[in-house]
Amino acid sequence: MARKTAPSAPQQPEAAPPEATALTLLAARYLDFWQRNLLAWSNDIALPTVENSKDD
Amino acid sequence: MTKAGVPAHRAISPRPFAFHLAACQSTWLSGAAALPAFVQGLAPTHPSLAAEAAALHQDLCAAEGVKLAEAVMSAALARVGAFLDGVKRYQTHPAHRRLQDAPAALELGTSCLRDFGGPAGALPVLAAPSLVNPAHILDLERGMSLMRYLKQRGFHPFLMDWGAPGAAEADFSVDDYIARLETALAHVAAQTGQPAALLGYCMGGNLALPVALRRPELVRGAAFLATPWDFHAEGIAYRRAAALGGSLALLPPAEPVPVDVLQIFFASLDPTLTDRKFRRFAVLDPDSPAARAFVLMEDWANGGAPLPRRVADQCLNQWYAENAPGHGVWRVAGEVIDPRRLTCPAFVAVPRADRIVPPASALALAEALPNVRIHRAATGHVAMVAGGGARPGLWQPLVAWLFTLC
Repeated sequence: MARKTAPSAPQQPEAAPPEATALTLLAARYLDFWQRNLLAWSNDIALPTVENSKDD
Repeated sequence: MTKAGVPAHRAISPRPFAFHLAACQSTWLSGAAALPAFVQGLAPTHPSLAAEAAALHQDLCAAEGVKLAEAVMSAALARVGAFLDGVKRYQTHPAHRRLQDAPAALELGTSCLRDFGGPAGALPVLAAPSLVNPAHILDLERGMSLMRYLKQRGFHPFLMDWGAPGAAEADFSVDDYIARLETALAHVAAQTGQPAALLGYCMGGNLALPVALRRPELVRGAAFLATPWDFHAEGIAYRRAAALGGSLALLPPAEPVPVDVLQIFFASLDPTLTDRKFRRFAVLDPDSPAARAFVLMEDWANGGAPLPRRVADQCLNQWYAENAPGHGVWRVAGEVIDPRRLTCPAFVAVPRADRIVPPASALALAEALPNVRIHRAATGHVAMVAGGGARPGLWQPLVAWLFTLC
């Protein structure tokens, strides 16, 4: 559990052809957006109380 | 604790782990699953992100569909993997808190008053942290300890360590813990021969205020650090807490509320935060000071003790859901707690980026106090007291105010 782990270098993006890199960046941009989108909705929506849930 | 000093709960952290893992997986896999709908303009996008969504939609439509779907799924799975990698690196990291707790000057059930010592005649400062997480956030590490900084600056700090509730505390209410703090304050004043500065962090401030009102002869001044008062002022915290408060009825009656249930409240404030934090940690140099600080903070944030049922009920329902303090109807031992009656000098620190206690909630307390110095810290709830910028961001302004009491 407390064993010292060997430090490892941060993972580097793999080399990729320009088209694949653009696609990878676009995929990352979409996923980043998606996470912010979920959070924005989450902040907008009040969770139902237990009482309300029973009425559903 | 394990043999090497690593807290045992790290093996099941971040807590509750099932919540964080599910949040991570559902975020990324739902993103991949929703791609076709997004490209067709059918996915629900939040109005606040409309412009970004439109630009993204245009670029996605220009890409080749199958390759794009493969790239998104591959990236989604990589993010789940990166999160798990970050968790594993945290769980196996050798760092742990090395500071020895200050000795107990007074034991009160499973709570104790820790005495950091100080020069003869020094102004005593009694700090009360929240009941939810361990007290050592105010004494985390060398260079990250507000208590030891206060001692260096010539004060005599004491720390209320609430401990884990035992049989005697199982039926405790908030009022009982306030009475315990009052006993500790009387002890500090008797031991040092002078009134003390009271300092409450987060809900510790809500415990300190009634004590300061009830025992003005023992209090030279009162500091409130990120202390909530108007629980409905802004943000989503009160909605999340109220939802959790309603669910207490589903737990076995009269039993303490488990840490993992309490942690759901903090996780629900931003269910995506843990994913981002641990993916960032995964690529940090594990030997860096930033990585070590991350580990110590996470150990603290995931630690703590179960909360007596009545305390949880009061905090989540009476405070958050009903906003009794903000509405001026919160009573302790029959007395309404009215901050306008606090005549001693007060210091209110309000972190500008506080998600747990929205700034407007803390400012409501400052506005009600008649003799107050307000300090706005450009940081978050925990970073303000123990983060890298805590010294200039809070400790120094706090000490400057404490000197005015001497």
